Amino acid sequence: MDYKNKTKAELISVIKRLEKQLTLLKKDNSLQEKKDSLIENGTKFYTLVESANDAIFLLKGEIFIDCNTKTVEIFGLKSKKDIVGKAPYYFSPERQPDGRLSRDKALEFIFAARKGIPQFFEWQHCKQDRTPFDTEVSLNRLPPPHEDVIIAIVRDITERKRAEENLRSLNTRLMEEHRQRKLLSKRLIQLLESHNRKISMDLHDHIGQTLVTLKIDLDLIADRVKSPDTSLKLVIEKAKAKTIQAIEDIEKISHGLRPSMLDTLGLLPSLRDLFEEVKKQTNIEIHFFTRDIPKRFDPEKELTIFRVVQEGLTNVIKHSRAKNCFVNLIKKDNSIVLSVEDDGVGFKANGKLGASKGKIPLGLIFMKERVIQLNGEFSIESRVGGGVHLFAEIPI
Amino acid sequence: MGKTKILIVDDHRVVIEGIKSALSVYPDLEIVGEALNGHQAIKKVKSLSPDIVIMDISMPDLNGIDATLQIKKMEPNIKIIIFTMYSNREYIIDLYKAGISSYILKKEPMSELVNAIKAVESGGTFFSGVASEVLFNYVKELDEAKEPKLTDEFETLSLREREVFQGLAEGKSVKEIAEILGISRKTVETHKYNIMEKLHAQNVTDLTKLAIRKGIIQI
Repeated sequence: MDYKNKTKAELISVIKRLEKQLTLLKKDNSLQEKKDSLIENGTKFYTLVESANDAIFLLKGEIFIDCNTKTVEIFGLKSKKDIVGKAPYYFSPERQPDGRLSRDKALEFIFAARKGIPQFFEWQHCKQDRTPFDTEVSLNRLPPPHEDVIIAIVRDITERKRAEENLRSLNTRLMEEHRQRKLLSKRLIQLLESHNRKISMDLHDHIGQTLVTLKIDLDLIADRVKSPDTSLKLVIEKAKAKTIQAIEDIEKISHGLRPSMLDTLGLLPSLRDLFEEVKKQTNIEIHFFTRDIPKRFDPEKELTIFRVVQEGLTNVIKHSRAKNCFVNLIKKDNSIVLSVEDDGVGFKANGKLGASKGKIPLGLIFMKERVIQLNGEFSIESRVGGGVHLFAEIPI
Repeated sequence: MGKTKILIVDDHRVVIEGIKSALSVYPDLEIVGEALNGHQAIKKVKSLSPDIVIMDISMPDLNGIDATLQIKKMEPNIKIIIFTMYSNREYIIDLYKAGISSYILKKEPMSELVNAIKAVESGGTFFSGVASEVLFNYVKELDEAKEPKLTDEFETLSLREREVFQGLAEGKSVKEIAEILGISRKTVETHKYNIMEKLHAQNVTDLTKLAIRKGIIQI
């Protein structure tokens, strides 16, 4: 514009016009706002990317065009320059752990991402010095108009994989230890029972029978002693009585250790015999209900069921002050279901197993273990109103 | 009338010797053989044809109960006297059913065994003391069982089973019953199963019908 030849009036109007435009521009904050927000977002984005703990880089076509600082660290580079311009499979071993060529596999993923399908996969990369390391990769293409650019996030999962491996080996060790414990427990139970059996038989066979012959001899002596030597006869009678008492005591101990009736007659008669004993010694009335129980089955299971009932009854007698005890033994599909229920005082109302002091009676812990050894289930509950319900199920 | 032939069966030599010496004073009793277990007993019965077998219960290989069954099948006329430490009801009843003629406890005076032999050799039976008590009660129970049942199956339910029964008959679910009674669902399931077995019920409707009949619930 040639200001020399303009009139003063014309210049003033130009200035006024320019002033107006300036004011308008100044008032147009939105432009400034847009610029500000652009700068702000850009800064945010930049900070986000730069401060990320994973490698983030951009792929255009098949080569890197930019990356964040973490990329340099993760890939063991000297600077960003080492990566820009390179192909992504450059920083990978020739083949992936599954045997495929890295180049082919990588191109497949990139191709899929470029179509718009986000990719997420594990990948073995290489650092600058060619040491391989395990990573997790996600690929996403940028929105239009930049769909030819892919943003890749790579996470170093070496630590995680190590932790997983540790967990796996720990788990294996734990399983093995558990298996051995279970075996030990089984052996202990078998040892205990065979031990009991041996003592029971020794008592009955050796001592018991010897006492019997002793008594027979005393009978013979008594016969030979003619009256009127009544004092001698008295001594002999006393001796016989003591012998008989000893015989009875031995039988009681022997029977307590292991009832031979289980071997000779089986489970149901042995249980009925047990209930007879209880009836003789206590005021508890036992109601026994059975259905479809086979006469004989696996001796180990017969013995375990017997022991559980025996232990359950022992606890009823010791702790419950019950008047009635209901024993149900039923065959249900492929298992035998046992329940022992009394109408006594029960134990702690929280339903958990516990005797008067809140401790689980050892005998019942033992029974639970024996039932579990046979792949069965075991539980004990106490009612709010009182009474205890013992439940066991053993597959046969 | 020749001598009475006796076979002694016991897995303890000392007991066999004791019986032999006790019976030696009776000239009309002849011990024709000994056996240490059920299998030997059966063999000797075949080969020696005794009149009476004095036998223990617990023996290895074949016990006294199984041996009794087999011998009685072979030779129904042989008299078997059980001579044992055990006084359990189950043994006494089972052996009685198997056909023994007498049951003597080892702790009793030997004179009892002799009385048994005397009674049995002329075809009778001899049950005294514990054995006779057990058998007496057993016969009484058999008699009572033949009479029409005064108590029905409902009486066999335990207290808790009755509570669960009521809940089921009222249409409550297992979950509800468990909550009300303060026990686990598994326990209620067990009770339910046992109840159905005891009452011969096919389903909950049967239970409800029974409950109505008994006046436990009203329609």
